[in-house]
Amino acid sequence: MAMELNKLSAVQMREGLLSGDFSAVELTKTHLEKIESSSKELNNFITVCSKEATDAANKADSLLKKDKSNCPKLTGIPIAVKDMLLTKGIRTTCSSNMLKDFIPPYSSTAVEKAEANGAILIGKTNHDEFGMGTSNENSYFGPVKNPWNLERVPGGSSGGSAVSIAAGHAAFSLATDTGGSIRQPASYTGVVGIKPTYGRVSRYGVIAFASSLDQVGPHTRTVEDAALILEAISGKDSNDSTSIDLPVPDFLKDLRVAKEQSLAGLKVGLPKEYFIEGLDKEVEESTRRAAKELEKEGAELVEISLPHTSAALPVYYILAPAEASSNLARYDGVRYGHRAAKISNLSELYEKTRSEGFGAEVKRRILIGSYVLSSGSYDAFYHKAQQVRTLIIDDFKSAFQNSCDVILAPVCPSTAFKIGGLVKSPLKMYLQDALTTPASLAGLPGMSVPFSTDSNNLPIGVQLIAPAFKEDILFKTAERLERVATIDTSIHC
Amino acid sequence: MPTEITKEDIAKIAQLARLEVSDSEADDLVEDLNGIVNYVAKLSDISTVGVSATTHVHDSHNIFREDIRRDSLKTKELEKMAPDFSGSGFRVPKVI
Repeated sequence: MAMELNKLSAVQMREGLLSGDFSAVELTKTHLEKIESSSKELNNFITVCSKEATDAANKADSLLKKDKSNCPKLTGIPIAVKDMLLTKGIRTTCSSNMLKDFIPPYSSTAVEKAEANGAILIGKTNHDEFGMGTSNENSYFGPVKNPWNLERVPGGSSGGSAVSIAAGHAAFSLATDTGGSIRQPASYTGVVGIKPTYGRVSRYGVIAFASSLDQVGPHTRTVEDAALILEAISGKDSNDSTSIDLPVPDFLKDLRVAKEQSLAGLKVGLPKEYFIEGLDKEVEESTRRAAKELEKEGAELVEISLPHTSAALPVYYILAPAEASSNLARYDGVRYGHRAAKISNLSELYEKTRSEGFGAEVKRRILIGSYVLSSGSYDAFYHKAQQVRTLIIDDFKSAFQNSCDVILAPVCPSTAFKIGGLVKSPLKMYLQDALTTPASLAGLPGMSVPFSTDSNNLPIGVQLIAPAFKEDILFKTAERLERVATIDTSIHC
Repeated sequence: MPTEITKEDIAKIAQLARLEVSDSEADDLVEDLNGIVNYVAKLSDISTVGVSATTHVHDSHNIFREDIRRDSLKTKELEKMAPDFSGSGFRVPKVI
């Protein structure tokens, strides 16, 4: 029994804990043992919280013993958290030399909410430094490996978070997505990943990369788990003025109702611009097969056009670095984080600290951002990109108003590529984000659901995109795909 | 659209961003940044006459709260995080 606990979904763990099949201590112990046996090779954790997790599990067991019926919904369930989300008293590095010893005095709202719901923090996961990357090779703590094939990348930036779920190190994890950082690694490692609508989850206590795009969301083993977790972490937060004051639906309850109904009346849009030249044939075949499966369930397939899709990547690679160059100006060696030694004056302090603290990709993006914001380039690049962003938003608005309820598309142009395969060409690496950045720029909820494997036995996910605050449509559509998926997502747990 | 980025441009941008760039790094960056900038410059083909700029996807407006005292971080907590702290302030090298 004990060895199988890692394969359970959070919903199943909840049931097992309530019925007394196993204790929170057993659950945590099994996960810690699994971490011990395989996380070194995968390099998906930066910090493992063995003692804190065991203490919390003991508390969860007392609570379960005392008053089962009133235990919050995540009581005793082990979670991993991307090291960009602050955790009070637990080192939060942002996978950077700049913050390698940083211990935050407060927690991010998303972590606080998960813990208030009883979840047990088991560790902090590795990722691309400051969220900048699509392969998890840009970490001060070294690259993360894909459990499906150790020579392949897990995707990024939230690679460690996705791997923790694929490898059975936690029931679910909290990650961030700026241009695809939850969805792409989910697709590469065969787990469920959702980037909620911008504003659905508070960004308070999330180390900022690009503030108009950053959003917190979970990696999970099942669609039901994603619904359960998203409800737990969502909602208005007075500490984040961009969080939206809308009621948070009971996503899991709604999904269970929707599960019993046919998909008749649901219009699924297939955007022709997402089936681009260079799209891997097996990824395309898998995506089209997923669409057919939804049709069998009663949905209507419609071809749609999102004409500005190919502009999303250039817009993203102007706006995200611009926002990053401003956000990362705070790392100056004065108040917290790294400070260079042997400094003789203040400007030297700034320059040496930042040059030692940031890795190559972070520096590259700060420089791009500073360039597009500089006086000679502002209008041609930054302002232009903001205008084209409006056109991208209008494309989606028009599609959802006139043609479809949900969009189905590939997540990435290919499956997981080889470690080191793209590091020499930053631009080729950026192209991996071509199909995830449009929904990010429009602030729309997007999801990757594991669906099949390719001839190299690497996972292929399917991307779903819904109108703002319609995550319920994502869940009900994704769950249909999960039923007929031809991938064993717990094989590496 | 702007012209090619030179090594001198890199030095200027690096200075604006308070980053040190070595000579060999600058050579690589010239190639990387020109590749990226040429790629993103393709936006100039898209007509945006009369299109408003998006800074934020939702309607954004100022948020006010009641002027009530709230707890903030204590000096001791700030001291713990600081690279160099003295009394009740952050200590930095001599400015002038």
